Amino acid sequence: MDEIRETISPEMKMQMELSVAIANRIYEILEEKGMSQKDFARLMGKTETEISRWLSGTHNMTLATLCKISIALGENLLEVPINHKELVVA
Amino acid sequence: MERNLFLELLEDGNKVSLYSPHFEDEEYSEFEKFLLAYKDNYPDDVRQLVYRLDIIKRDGAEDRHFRYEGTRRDRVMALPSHLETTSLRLYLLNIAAKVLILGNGGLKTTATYEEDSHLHKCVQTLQKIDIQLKQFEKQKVITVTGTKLLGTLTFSIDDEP
Repeated sequence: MDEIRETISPEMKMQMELSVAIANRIYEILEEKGMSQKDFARLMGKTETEISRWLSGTHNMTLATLCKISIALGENLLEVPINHKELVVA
Repeated sequence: MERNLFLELLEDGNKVSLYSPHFEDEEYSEFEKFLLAYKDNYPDDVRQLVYRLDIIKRDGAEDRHFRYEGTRRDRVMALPSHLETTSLRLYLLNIAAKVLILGNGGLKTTATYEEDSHLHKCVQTLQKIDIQLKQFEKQKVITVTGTKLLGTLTFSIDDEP
């Protein structure tokens, strides 16, 4: 596994860390609001299977989807500093 | 046919440790066989799986990070390719979100794993190991202590190579 680790690019690591962080944040928000995955699915007009994929941290979410989720949950999932010098923070 | 195996500790983690079944008549563990089979033709997917395992070792192995496979009675789960670039799947046993026993896997091109003989075998092997493990856990022959499996990690299952 160490040999394979040496070939993982920083971009790949960052993309994976972000997708997991976003999924974790959505999960936390649902917990805070006492919302079940079933309720969330209904709110978003999605199936529970699709919601499971979102929460697994392996799904490649689009910006549009992230915005829809942010608005639906009333919580900004993404922040970009005004000076744009820093990276997107979930 | 009875085959002897041992549960080989691959890596310790803060929250999760990784093991893999290693049959005594084979050179590599089941997870090593998976890496060797797919690392050259699916390098990005294998890299993602390895890094995903690093994240899991660091952060934890909650069920929602995996896909349920097998039956409701067993602890077989799957890690899909992160970001779903291909249909490469790694099958594993999730023991109390503290220990992952990494098996083999492959490309899932059928609707269910049962329809693919290789994937079906990967899952069945883990299911047989799970049955034995549960029995040993009940008898306290094997225990999960922290993120370690302690006890007799060598046993046999009825399996075909």
